[in-house]
Parts: sequence; structure tokens; C-alpha cells
Amino acid sequence: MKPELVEIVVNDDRRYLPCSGLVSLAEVLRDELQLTSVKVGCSEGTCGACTVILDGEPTLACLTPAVACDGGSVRTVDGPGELQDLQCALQDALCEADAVQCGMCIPGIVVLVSSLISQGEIRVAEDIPRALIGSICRCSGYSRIVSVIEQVLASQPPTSRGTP
Amino acid sequence: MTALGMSMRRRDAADKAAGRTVYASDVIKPRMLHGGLLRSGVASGVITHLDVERARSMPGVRAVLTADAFPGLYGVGIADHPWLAAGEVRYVGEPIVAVAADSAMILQAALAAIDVTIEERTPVVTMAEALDPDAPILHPGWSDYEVLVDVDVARGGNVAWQATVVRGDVDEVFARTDVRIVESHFRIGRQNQASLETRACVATYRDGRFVIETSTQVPWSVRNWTARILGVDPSSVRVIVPPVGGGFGMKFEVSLEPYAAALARVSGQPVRLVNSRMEEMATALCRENAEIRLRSAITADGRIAAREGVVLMDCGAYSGEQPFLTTMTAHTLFGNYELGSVRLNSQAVYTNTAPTGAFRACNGTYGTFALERHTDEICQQLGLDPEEFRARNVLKDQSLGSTGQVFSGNVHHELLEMISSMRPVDEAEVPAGWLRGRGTAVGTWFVFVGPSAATINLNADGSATLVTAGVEIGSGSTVQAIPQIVAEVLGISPESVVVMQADTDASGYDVGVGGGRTTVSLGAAAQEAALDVRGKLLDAASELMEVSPRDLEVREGRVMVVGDPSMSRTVAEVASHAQAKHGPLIGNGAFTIRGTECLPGCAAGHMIDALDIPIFTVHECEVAVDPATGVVRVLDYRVAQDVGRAINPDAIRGQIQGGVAQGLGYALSEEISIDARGCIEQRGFGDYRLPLAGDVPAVRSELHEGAPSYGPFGAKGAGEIPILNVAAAVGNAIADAIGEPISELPMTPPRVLAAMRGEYRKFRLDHLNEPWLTYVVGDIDAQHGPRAT
Repeated sequence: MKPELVEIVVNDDRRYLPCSGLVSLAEVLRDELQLTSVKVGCSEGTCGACTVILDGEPTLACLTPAVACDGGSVRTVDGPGELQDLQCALQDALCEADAVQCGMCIPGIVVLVSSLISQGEIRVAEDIPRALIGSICRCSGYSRIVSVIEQVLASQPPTSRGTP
Repeated sequence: MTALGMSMRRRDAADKAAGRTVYASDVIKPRMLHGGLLRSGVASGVITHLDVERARSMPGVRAVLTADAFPGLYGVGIADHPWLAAGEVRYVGEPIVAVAADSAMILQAALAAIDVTIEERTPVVTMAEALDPDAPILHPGWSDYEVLVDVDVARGGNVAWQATVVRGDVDEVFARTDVRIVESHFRIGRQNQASLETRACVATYRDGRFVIETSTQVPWSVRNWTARILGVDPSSVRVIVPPVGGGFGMKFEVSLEPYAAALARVSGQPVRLVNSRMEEMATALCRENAEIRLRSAITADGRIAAREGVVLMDCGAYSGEQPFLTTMTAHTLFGNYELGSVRLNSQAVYTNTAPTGAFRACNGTYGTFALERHTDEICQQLGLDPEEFRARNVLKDQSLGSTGQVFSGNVHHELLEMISSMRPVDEAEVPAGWLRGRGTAVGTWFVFVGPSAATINLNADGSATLVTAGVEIGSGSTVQAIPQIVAEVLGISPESVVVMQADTDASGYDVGVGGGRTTVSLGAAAQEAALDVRGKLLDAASELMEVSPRDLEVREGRVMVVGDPSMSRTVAEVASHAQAKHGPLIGNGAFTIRGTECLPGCAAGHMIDALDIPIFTVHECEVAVDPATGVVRVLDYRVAQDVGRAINPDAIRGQIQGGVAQGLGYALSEEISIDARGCIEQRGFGDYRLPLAGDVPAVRSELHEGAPSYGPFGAKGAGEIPILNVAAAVGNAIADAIGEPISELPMTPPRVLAAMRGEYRKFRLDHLNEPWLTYVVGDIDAQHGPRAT
């Protein structure tokens, strides 16, 4: 099969990426751009490690065919754009809370949670378990991650928590 | 300020959180090929036809290998495992052909182009089938297999390994009229390690040697076994270990490395092999399924006069870790309590299913579940108070263990007191109609001590580089506890200690990272290396400062005169002086097990007869059960854990929280079922239900310090044991809530409902319901010889 080129803006850079058939966005980002921050834990959309922002929405890159992203814009944890402050706050707090163990799940959780906080999908502590329902961490037992999210949430000015 | 007891943060956390950490599965090399395996779709059969020529001739296919490229047989206790199936296949997922190709797509096409015919046979799927006298023998050539350890073992037919304990006369006690007998049976399911990073490696072949970057817990085992499987010299294999994305025991054995290495040699290009999640679901070295019969004779004053047990452990098609693990039942299922007479038979049984292996605290988890459920059943049936019964019978200072080792300290007692002081003051709210229960579980585990080596370069800038084969698996030992140990000895800050990533070309031998041994074994070797280099540092300072080394100490980065801190030089100044005058400062350390006595004749077929560094723990929890659905919610969870010495308390608490979460999955939701064709039915995280954020409460923990340990500064392993008691505590809490026993793991809602109907009240496994001697392979008296009572 002859690969075709798709045009995707990745972390603000316009890229023309070869992709064959239904090859996933995760594989293209990892193999073509060496963006190995996009972790692949399951390849079936159940662990959340590959979460990226596609056209403003948190998206499972392992289930998204790269061809379906043609003309779109992708952000990984490496290029947070407007989520920069939230991502940094989460990352710093995760380190400070000793919440990172093997670390495979963390980039996906940082991308997901910063996006959901900015969209107003996580507004109060009770929203957190539901927000993390598609994020598997096998090491930490979650409680430190949840506490960190609560802490970052509490430090956000009310205006940046999105509209109800 | 001391480096011990401080909750130092991890130097690797920021890069992990930013996605900059490169795991083995992320390694990319120029001209790297995609490797993959053709796996058997049937559980038992004979390969009657195998033709790889069409695949080999496809454009972009660079190497195709079959069984003859892997001449050596693998094993832990018995060399019974061919690395590619030759004549026979014995489980679904068993590799038959290894392929390397330019792209993942060409690889898939090549695997599909392989022409293989397997004449299918009826598989032996359950242990009851395997032990039937008419069962087909999985390994007809079993008696020719090499036994890899220096142990006299009874085995034969589908029993891969038998480990027994015999002490005193159990028959005589059970026949007494002044004891009451309680019997329990248990059935335990498998548990998949489900590390987020699957098994993965990249191999290259250069300068006549294999270089393997791999996601493993055991670099030295991978080095030695890759060599043996390929039939090459061990010194021709170099293993490097990037940060590992979780292992939990699954990566405690060689796995994909020999395939990648052989494919790299044949193709002349780097080869990457990464298991898919589906491959991991089918072939992970799960915690084994098991079946247990346990009975106890209890005296009128509530003592355990005799205990007898049979444990069947499913090793799958190849024995792997299970021969070793048959040893551990003596110390877990038959641990915790003072026992009169003892008789225990633990067998690893071959079936046509995927091989099982090590998973955090291994069979200790279900041994503790069975023992602690049995303990509560004893109390319930005989009208005894469980708290008093446990306090009376737990191992105390000078108590004998089941194999006759003498324990020291009253740690269980102190932990039981700690846990009772942690009980919640207020009851958590539960929906109307839900049933509440509390469960307590005592546990005994150990540190898997063994050889470790360490070298420290004390650099002229005052920093230290530690070279070991220690792997950063996620627990943080190599970025927290071990640098803290080295820093404490050298009087420098832990931030100025760097631990080199594992590389078998640089470091000496090490057993591996697992079994709670990292901080203890690698830490002790590092401590010795630090003491060695500290002596040289003080000698150099003595020369420089014209003071006797006996009058010098080193702290806060300075070598100073005792009692006169104004007379001091920085470590960097002294190290520079030494380097210029005598050469760089280097220290070496080595460590291994000291050995603990047991009673002669008690244990047969055991790889370890006694626990060298025992660890104790008590868990307690409150649960609520929905009587309509059988759903269990954990309301509060508490841990009192013996840690010896807490080098980094926050890191230990992180391990406790994570271990309890995995234990809750094991107890409640992680179910693996195997169909009649030998196929594991769960294919991914969609149908294998791991704990999620909403399932796990914040665990409260107290750390017990001061129990004896010959680990560095008195430390014990703290990362493995947190999972040990979870299923037991939750099982006891569920039984308390519903007022009925429950004897199966996991305790999924349908099983909880079955328990509520009283279905576990007389739970019996028919194939275990025979006199004890029925199960013994060989002559039990000859195996134990003359023995103490």
C-alpha cells in the first residue's frame, strides 16, 4: 500500500506525514515525529496514556486514524499552547507530591486533566474520579494524583474554570 | 542533617511527567526493524507442517527464524521451556516463528504468509484434569529435563514440582478427641500484572556481541538466559535497562530478548519487539490460579495443635517461577501463627495454558487470603473472638515457624495494636440497605535477598556515581532510598549521588529488582561500597590535613575534625587531592543472603527453607456490600507495616497506596477466565477490569520501625508487601458484612451474591477431598529423612 501524506499542525508546526491505511495518530506521532511522550499502553482506547488534544478536544490517539486528522491541529504534552500554565502546575504538583512512579500514564493524564479543567469539565473535587475513568495508573493507586488535581483546581482563579 | 528518613523527591519525576523519559518501548534506532511472533492459536497440538519460505521471500522481510535458532531450554527450577515451539505446542499464544521486517505492516503480512498446520489435541485445561490418572502428560520427557537448582525434588507426570513440609505427627493430633477440626477450601483466579508498558526490547548485534535495551527487572538473568537459549557465550550479551514502565514481577524473567537478539544477528539491523496489549493479556506471566485445602485442629484453649494443607498451583505449560513459589506457601499459608504439628504439600501443576509467574508478593497474596479467611472461619465456627485468637497465636519472639525457623521480635503483636488504634471514629455514609463489615488480616512476607554488587566513584567534584545493575522500575529505589543510603555514609547530599542505569557491561551480578530486595540488597551493596570509599576519603583527608583518620568525620559535604568543625575540607577538595596524588577514589561493595537455620528434615523440595529477613504487616478495612447487586465498596483502608527503618517515608507510603490498589483489583474485579479450549477470555482492559480512580480510597498507613533486619541501616523491603493482605482483609470484611463465608477470588458481584445465598458454607473442591498422602509424589518419608518434631 502506497502511503499518502496528511497535513497536520503538530504543536504549532505544520507537518506533512506519510500514513498508510488506518495507521493511528499515535503511531504516526511516535514513529514519524518521535513524539514518544504519546505513550501506548493498550492500543484500544482503554488506558488513556496516548491522550492528545485534537482540534481542542482531548482525544485517544491510538484509536484515531491519522488520515482522519488531515487538516487538523494536534497538541501533545510537549507543546501545550494555551494549556501551558495548567500543565506546568499539574506537573510541578505531581513531582512535589511524589505521585509519579513508573510514569507511563502521567503525560496522558496531564494532557487530559489540563484540558478538562480549562473546559470547565472538572470544576469540583467530585468531578475528578469520573474525569479519570479512562485513565489507568497501575502503580500509584490514584490518591496522590487525585489530591494533586484537587490542589491545582483550588489554585485556579474562578474565571479560568470555564463556564458552567 | 541526615539523609535517612527524609522524604526526598525523585529526580526522574519531572521528565516522566513531561513525557521526555525514553522507555524501552520508545527506543528508536537507525535502520531499526519491527520484530514480531507467530503464536499458536491452539492450546495443545503437534506441528505437522511449517513453511516459512513465502514469508521469507517477501520484500522488506529481513529475518525469519524457527525453533532451531533457539537451541537452549529455559527454566527457573527446571529447564523445560523451548523458546520457539518445535514439535509440539502447549498453550494458546506460544511463539512458533520470529520475524523481522522493515515496517509493522510488512511484518503483519509476513506473519500471515507463514504456512503452519497444527494437529489439534484435546488440551488439559484445569489442574483437576491434569492430575487425573488418565490425563495426557504435557511433558512426556520430563525426567530428562535438567533440574537447575541444587534441591532434591519429587516430581513426575503433570506435577512439575513438589514442596512439602512435615513436622510432628499430624494424624495423631487430628485423631485426638480434645481438639475441634475446621476445614476450608479455596479457589483462586489468575491476576495479570498489566504494567502499562508491555514487555518491549530493542536488540542490535555489533562487534560480535548482542546489545539489548530492554524493559526488564532482571538484567543479569536476561544476559545469561539469552546466551543459553541462543547457545552463545554469556559474555557476548550486554543488557541495558532504560526506565521501566511497570513490571510487578512479569518482567522478572527473560522474555522477548532472545528473539530480538537472534533476529538482529541474522538481519544485521537493530530489531524492536513490543508486545501488544492483546499479547500481554494472552501470555503475561500471571499470578497463578490455585486451589487450596486447609484444615486445623484447635485445642480448647484456642491454640492450633495441627494444620494440614494441599495447594495446587497452575504453572501453565512451562514451570517458570512456580517451582520456586511452591516454597513460599510454607511461610505464608502456613505462616503468621504458632503451629503444633504441620503437614503441607504444594505442587506446581502443568496445564495447557499460558505459563504463570511472579506478581508482587506472588502466592503470598492468596496464601494470606486463604489463611486469614480460614482463621475467621475457625473463630466463627468455634465461637472464638478473632482479635483474641490472632493475638494469642501470632508469631512472637522465639516462636517457631512452620519449617522450624526461630523468629525474633513481637512485631505482629505491635502491629495489631497499631491497627486497632487507627480505627475510624465516624462511620462513612452508605446507601440505605447496604451491609457493613470490617475485616482484619495478618501477613508475613520476606525480602528476597541474594547477590548484589556495587561500585562507587567518588568524583573530584564531590559527587558520587553508583554503578549497580539496579533497575528503576517505578518504585523510586534508585532515585530515592539508594542515593539516600550512599549520601548518609559519605556525608554528602543525596542529590549529589547518581545511580547509573543498569548495564551488565558496567556492573557486577545482581539477582534483579523484585521481591522487595532493591533497597535491601542493592542498598546494602551500595552501603558497603560507600563505606569502602569513605575509608579512602578519610585516609586522603588525613594526609592533607595532617590529622589521624580516627579523628575525622564526614558530614554536610565536608571532612572535619571531630569536635572541631572549623578544621575541615570539602569532600571535593579531598577527592581532588586523592585523585591527583593516588588516583580516583573508588569503593566496592558486595552483598548476599546470610542464611537462616530451620529444623532439619522439615522441608523437602524447597529452594529456601526459612525467611531470611521476614516482614510483617496487618491490614484492616471497612466495606459496604449492596445486597441487591453484590457490589462491594471499600469505605476505609488501613495498613500497619513493618519497614525496619523508613529510609524515605513518603516513597513507602506511595508503595502502600499503589500496592493496596492492585490488591483491591485482585480482591474484587480482576478476573481471568479460561475456556474449554485453553484460551484466556479477557482480551484487554475493556473486559479485564483494573481499579480506576473512583475505586480506591486514600489508604491510611503507619510505619513500624525497629524490627530486626540486616538490611542497610535496618531497612526492609517495603514495596512488595503492601499487596499481601488486601484480598484477605477485604474477604474477611465481606464475610463480616454478609454473615456468610466467601472462598473464591476475585470476589466479583456474582460471587458475593452466591456467598449471600450460603453457597460457600460447605465449599469443597472434590479433587482435593482425599487423604493427604493421596497427593504425594514419591516416598514422603524418604524425602524428609530423619526429622525433628
